[in-house]
Amino acid sequence: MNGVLKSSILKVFNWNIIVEFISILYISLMLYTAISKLIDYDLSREQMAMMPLMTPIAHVISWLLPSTEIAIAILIFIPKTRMNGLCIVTGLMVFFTLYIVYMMTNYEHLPCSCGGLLQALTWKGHLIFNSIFILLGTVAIFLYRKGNQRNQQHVIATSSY
Amino acid sequence: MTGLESKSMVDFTILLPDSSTYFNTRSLQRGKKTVIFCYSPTCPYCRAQMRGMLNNIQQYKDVQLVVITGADFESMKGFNNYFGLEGFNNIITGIDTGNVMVKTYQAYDVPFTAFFDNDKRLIAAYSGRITNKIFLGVIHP
Repeated sequence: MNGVLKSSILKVFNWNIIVEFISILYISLMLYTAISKLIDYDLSREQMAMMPLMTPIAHVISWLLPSTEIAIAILIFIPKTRMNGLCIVTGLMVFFTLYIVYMMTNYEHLPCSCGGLLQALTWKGHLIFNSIFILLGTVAIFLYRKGNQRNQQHVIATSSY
Repeated sequence: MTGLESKSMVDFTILLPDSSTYFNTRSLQRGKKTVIFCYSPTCPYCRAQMRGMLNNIQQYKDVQLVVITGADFESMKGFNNYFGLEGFNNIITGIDTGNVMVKTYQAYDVPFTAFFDNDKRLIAAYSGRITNKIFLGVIHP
């Protein structure tokens, strides 16, 4: 019985490490982009104002987006809300990616309003970067669910002893 | 450094937003400092500096601010409307049709900000975005 318990603990531990790693990546990304936007608020506001469909709402988006990114980072950081955070951030990345595809197919000259080093990415680079993060988010959600199910089974199995 | 520091401002004409009137820099008042801000309507750094200047416009109220571009008329109008520049008495906006700022002051990179003293002599010129602190440091040393 000890061997079965050990292997199940090991499995849960491995799932968690991957989920933790992806969560840290997402928290870092959200905080980094939010802070770089807020540090130079005027610049990020004007960059957003130059983006297609954004001009009339840039003054709202320029503080709403970094606030949302910080809120998401907090959600992912707290274990109880991690699942919600991962779902929201993956959904947000899907939305960003669709917006990039829309812009790439409809506009020739595009400004970039990402914060910090991410500004250096080309639009194709953004697309690849976002796709990797969507994939990571999906993996994290899947593993987190799986991990929770295993945890519940483990609790049931332990309590039945 | 442009090499023109302490030299008098060159006279040149600016096409005003009404598309028919030209403003000559000769008409700028002596006894007041003048700042010429060159921008490109599609440059986010220029727009951010413009936003920063407008946020602090109360501190610049004794300065004649000339906001000019080499871009097309529609883009200039769009920029003016976006920032509501026509509502400010101390701001003159328009197009540097002769590209004088580039030819004379080497304003190849925008934003470009040139500061002139009360006698319209060049004090300093900056390529790239400058902060309000630098701006105030030059006009109110």
